[in-house]
Amino acid sequence: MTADITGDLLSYADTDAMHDEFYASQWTDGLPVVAPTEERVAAMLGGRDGDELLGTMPPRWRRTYVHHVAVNAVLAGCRPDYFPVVLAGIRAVLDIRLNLYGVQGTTNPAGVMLVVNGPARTELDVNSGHNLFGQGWRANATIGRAIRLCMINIGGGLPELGDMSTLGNPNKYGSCIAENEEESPWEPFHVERGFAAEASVVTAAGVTAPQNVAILSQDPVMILDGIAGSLMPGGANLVLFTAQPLVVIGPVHAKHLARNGYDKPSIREYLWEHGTIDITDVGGTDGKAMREWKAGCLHVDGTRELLRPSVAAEDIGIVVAGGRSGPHSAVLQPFNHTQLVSVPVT
Amino acid sequence: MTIVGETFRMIADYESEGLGLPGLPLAIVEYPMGGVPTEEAVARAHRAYGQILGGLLSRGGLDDR
Repeated sequence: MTADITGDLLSYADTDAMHDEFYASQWTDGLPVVAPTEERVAAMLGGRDGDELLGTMPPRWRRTYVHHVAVNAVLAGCRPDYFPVVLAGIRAVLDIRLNLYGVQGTTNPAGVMLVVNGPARTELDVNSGHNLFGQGWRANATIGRAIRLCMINIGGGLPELGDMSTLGNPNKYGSCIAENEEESPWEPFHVERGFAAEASVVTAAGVTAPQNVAILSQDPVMILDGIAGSLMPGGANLVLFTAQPLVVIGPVHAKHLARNGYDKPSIREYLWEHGTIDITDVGGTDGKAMREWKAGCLHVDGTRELLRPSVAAEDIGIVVAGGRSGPHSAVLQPFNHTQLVSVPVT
Repeated sequence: MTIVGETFRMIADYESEGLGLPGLPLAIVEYPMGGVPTEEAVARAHRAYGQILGGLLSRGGLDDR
């Protein structure tokens, strides 16, 4: 149905004609794209072997070569120096632990988000501060978009065909942030995950849009209870799914928590314990699904059935990010059987 | 052949075509499947039985291969 975007060279009378045909061919996310000329693709590759096979991408299961990723990075508007981050992102999403097959085809609104750690954040100006989930930064906007365009053009994630999302979410145009390591009182996310501090690392998450947690108090328990209560509110993915959620703690909250002796492991433990919900009286289809799909998260305490957010506290990813201007954090709800996957930038 | 929730019929055709198996016979069952009572799941399985049998016994769209 969809032509091979890396096939024959095409030529157009003008950019309007190109945009019209690319859109009609379903090679875009709906927005205009940058023409993937031979010169631009070569510059994006930067001497890399375009024939290197990275894997096959669901649900269309096309072979994914480095060249394909470069074409989509050009389409997205990436600068060539972003390409190593885009490539690491694609390697991460192709890792079976992310469950891209599920993320692409599900009726759920989940998409893919990248978190960048290490020197690449500053070298490429990936926003880790104010409005990092929003507009204004070329690296964030185009790296995230390149991943999405690969998911469309290589993976076949076309709405109502390879992407059955009922509602979708705005982050599906592309989502890429960086950890604000400078404002974090704790070890960087990638170091926690076993990488050297001087390494640049991309972590992919199969998640929905950020759900804001505004807690005005400086009391660490109030802050943590606010975040814990946002893990499994009614209808949230984590109520049904066994997966690894991502929590973004804003610098203001992080500072209050650190000042009171909390670090990432103790925060994880707190969220895991206090994010628990009581499903003893929940019946019907949802109750059955909770007990079966989250069996590994179910704890029986006397006569009560308690559901933890995740199998283990260690499953909760914590990133410090955002600006210093407000008391906000966020929870990103994961899709089912989705794990956080980290890949070094090379 | 494969068993597919009705919501995913189009993606199943799209996927099988991508995998080089256009016309792969599908047994279409009601969606969602998760969380349905056991009796309902059994009833659905009985309703799907004919489709599964037919798919297994027919070469379907694979005749040309």
